[in-house]
Amino acid sequence: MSDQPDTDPPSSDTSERELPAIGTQVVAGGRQGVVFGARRVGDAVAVTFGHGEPWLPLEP
Amino acid sequence: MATMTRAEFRPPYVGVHYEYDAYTAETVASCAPFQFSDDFVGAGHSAGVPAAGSPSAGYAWVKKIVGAAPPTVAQPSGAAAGGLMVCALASASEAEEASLYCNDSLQIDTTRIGQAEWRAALTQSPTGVAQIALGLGSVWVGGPVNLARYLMFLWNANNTLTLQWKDGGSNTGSLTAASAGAAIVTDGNYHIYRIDWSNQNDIGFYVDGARVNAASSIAWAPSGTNGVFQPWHTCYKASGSGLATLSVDKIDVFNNR
Repeated sequence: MSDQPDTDPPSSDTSERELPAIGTQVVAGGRQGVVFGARRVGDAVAVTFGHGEPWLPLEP
Repeated sequence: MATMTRAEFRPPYVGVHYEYDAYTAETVASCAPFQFSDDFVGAGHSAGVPAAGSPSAGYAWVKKIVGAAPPTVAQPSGAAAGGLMVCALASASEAEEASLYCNDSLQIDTTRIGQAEWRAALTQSPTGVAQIALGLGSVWVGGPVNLARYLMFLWNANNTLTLQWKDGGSNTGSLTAASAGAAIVTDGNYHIYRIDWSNQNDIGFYVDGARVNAASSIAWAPSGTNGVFQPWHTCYKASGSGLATLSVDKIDVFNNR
């Protein structure tokens, strides 16, 4: 049996994106702010910057 | 203190009938077909909570103790009238847990109209890396937010109350609890904590009757038995130093079948 060439293991893109912790600085919906809440619905991650404020899509 | 009992349906007009004290917001009765209540009164509680994995016949609770110091889950001797159960960490620098739960008997169905309510106090606010959590959870895993599924009130060392949810599917998150726009920094007094799942699209968290999450901020769509839970009370730290003590005076769960 011949040696297998060295290759990187296949990358996995199936892991879910971590939710940002409350109190951290992020950019979402074009705004920078401190995370008041973070949630995942489906594949999307959204954050809000205050009580009753809109949920904004978290930017990469 | 005076009492003024009022009543309402949750959700309005079509839901479960509840009676509550208008001054304290504590639910005092319900016409829900499923009811589980414990004021932690009686010899079973004072005799000692059985260890996780070794429940006692006729007794709902077990305790999970991690740490050599050790942490405790017990009814204090001479506990005040009305009953009490206390989860407490010790001061050692080590991984510790003091949890009170139902030995992984998952029997509270959050996919039907209902609510769970506690009267509880942070007798020792979390310090260092310690956490306190109160709510509903799936089977035991060390660390409240490491559970597979949960609906919980959670406090870290800054005493700011956060709300945590995870339905085992796509809905998960954490949110700072707020009232009148301001985050809630919990004191050491007793408060009424209520989680209301009358509306699956809008889980409500309440403290002393005031809703502390905005409308439509928490969606909930557990599939199948993912929506079935046990009560969860815990003080926890993964390592290091930190104290925390949670005193639970009562739990009431009201639910449709």
